[in-house]
Amino acid sequence: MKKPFLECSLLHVGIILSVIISLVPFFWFIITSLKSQTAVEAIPPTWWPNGNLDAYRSALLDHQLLNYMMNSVIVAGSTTIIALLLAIPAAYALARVRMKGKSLILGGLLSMSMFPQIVIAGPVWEILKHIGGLNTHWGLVLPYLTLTLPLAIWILATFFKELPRELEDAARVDGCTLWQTMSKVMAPLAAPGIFTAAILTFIYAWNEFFFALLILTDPEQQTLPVGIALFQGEFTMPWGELAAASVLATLPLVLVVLLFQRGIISGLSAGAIKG
Amino acid sequence: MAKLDLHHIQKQFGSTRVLQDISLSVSDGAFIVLLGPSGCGKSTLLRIIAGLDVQTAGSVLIDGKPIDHVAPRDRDMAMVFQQYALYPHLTVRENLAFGLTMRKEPATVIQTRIKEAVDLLEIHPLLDRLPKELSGGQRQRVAMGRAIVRKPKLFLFDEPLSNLDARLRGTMRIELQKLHKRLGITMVYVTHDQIEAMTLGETIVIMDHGNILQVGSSEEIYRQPNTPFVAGFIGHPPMNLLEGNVTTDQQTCYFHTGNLRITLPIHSCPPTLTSAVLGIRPEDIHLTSSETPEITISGTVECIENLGADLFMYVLAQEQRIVLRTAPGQHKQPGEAITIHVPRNRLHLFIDGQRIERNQTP
Repeated sequence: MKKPFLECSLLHVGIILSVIISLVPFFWFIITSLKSQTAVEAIPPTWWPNGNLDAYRSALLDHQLLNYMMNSVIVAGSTTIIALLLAIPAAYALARVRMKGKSLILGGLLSMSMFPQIVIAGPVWEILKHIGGLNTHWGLVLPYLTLTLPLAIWILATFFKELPRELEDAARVDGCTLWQTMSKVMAPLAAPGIFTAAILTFIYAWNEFFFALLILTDPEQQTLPVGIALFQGEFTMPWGELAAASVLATLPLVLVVLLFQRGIISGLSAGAIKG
Repeated sequence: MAKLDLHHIQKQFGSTRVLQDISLSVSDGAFIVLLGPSGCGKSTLLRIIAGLDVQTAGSVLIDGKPIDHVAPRDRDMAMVFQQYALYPHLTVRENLAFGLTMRKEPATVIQTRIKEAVDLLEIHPLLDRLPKELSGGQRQRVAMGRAIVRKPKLFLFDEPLSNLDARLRGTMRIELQKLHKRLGITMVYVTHDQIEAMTLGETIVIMDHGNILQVGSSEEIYRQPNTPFVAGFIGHPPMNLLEGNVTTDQQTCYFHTGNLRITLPIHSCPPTLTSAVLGIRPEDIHLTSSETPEITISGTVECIENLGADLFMYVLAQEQRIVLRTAPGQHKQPGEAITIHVPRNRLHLFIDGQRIERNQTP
């Protein structure tokens, strides 16, 4: 059936508008990162970059971008791994094990993820100061876990709930303990959910700025968002370097998302228990 | 190889009682079928045997030892599920090996067991495929294989054939019987399909509303159903069950419903008017008179269903509809008057929901 022309063109306008609105800032900083210092500051702005890679060289060498990146990999990576290790069993239990107060726990988790960060900023700083977590990576991973676990558990619990119960029964009769049922049968089948939770947790920890700024004051420990924000120029704001660093900071994220996305899609198409 | 005993099993979900008081004994190597309509508690009973559900009261015994506190994985039973429940992320080979790997059997044992099962079920070409790449029948075989490799004490089947098409079901029924003969392992099989039950079970257990109504061979259950429910549940088309009263009139026992009056071959009748159910199997009704003592009922043909091998004829007799099963080639037309004949020894009488034998005093 042919769609009416008006309806069709409205759809297209919608798509084009949303693409433009979401991509213009990225487009702008990619262009900026490829300009020379003078071109960056030219008025009126030039639309076409001159392909100058000085900003990248400077960001990597003068501003120790690789150091920040390594810090971010450590913090975001360990946040993701620990969050999943905790969230998978928690979500499985909340989805399947019969226990009292289950809905209370799930509701509590959900409401926790709604608190504005600033509410816990003070207490987190105090606690970390007492246990010596300031200016350490683990000191940042802890509040990240607090903030990402509720969402991860919710996503995973939803996935676990949808898996057929017969598979669990089969695993139990086949000789699995509860823990083995989860790790050998249910978790592999919840892979799409695990990937989703992993991506969201990783993105959050990779981009988080507020707690990173609060907890990490030592430049040696700082993560990418903080590091980039604190780029120092001698006389001017180093816009070119900032843009180049942002591009480099985004790349791993895009890679991770693309990598996991394949996992999500193959996971979703694998399900089928019964034909 | 094991003997299974159930002692007064009760199960309650909240305030609903799904199993009333089930006691049953299954001898070593038997093939027992739990048969009943959906919701009768047969699947719950199977899950209790497997340990997947816990009974509210009562006890499950294997070889005389209670196993109520033994986890499902330590009960050494294998179960085949209705939806097959193959692990979708594992290949057929890994699915077959899973239970043995979990039990930490040596690799060589696993290899031999898989080979035996694969040869038995002829699923060799499927070994490296994933469950999603198999047809329903193939999945069923693999699910069966996964149970066979375990060499368990007890096989549990939860309606394993209900997702297959009719033809495949017929084939699998035969294979299951052969499998049981060959392995000699005690099998408990749950189904709502009477044909499966009649063909497979050495012993059939008929259940309804959480109770066992009758235990017996398919012959016994067919010939001497205990209750009107069993009588109506087994057989196709179902047994004609006429509701009415029995009474004595001058030393003779009569069953009557409406204007229909049938002389019963019971030696002594209840002294007073008692409500009763009279059962007549459609295949016990003849269109011609025979030499055995018989009753005759006259009515009109209501309609005729020709199934090729059989012909079902619906007869209206004094407002009672009676179905009979006969060979095709009857040239009766709907609306035509007809007289039907039933040998007296083929009548089933139930009073208070219980079968009354011919020479029994109610």
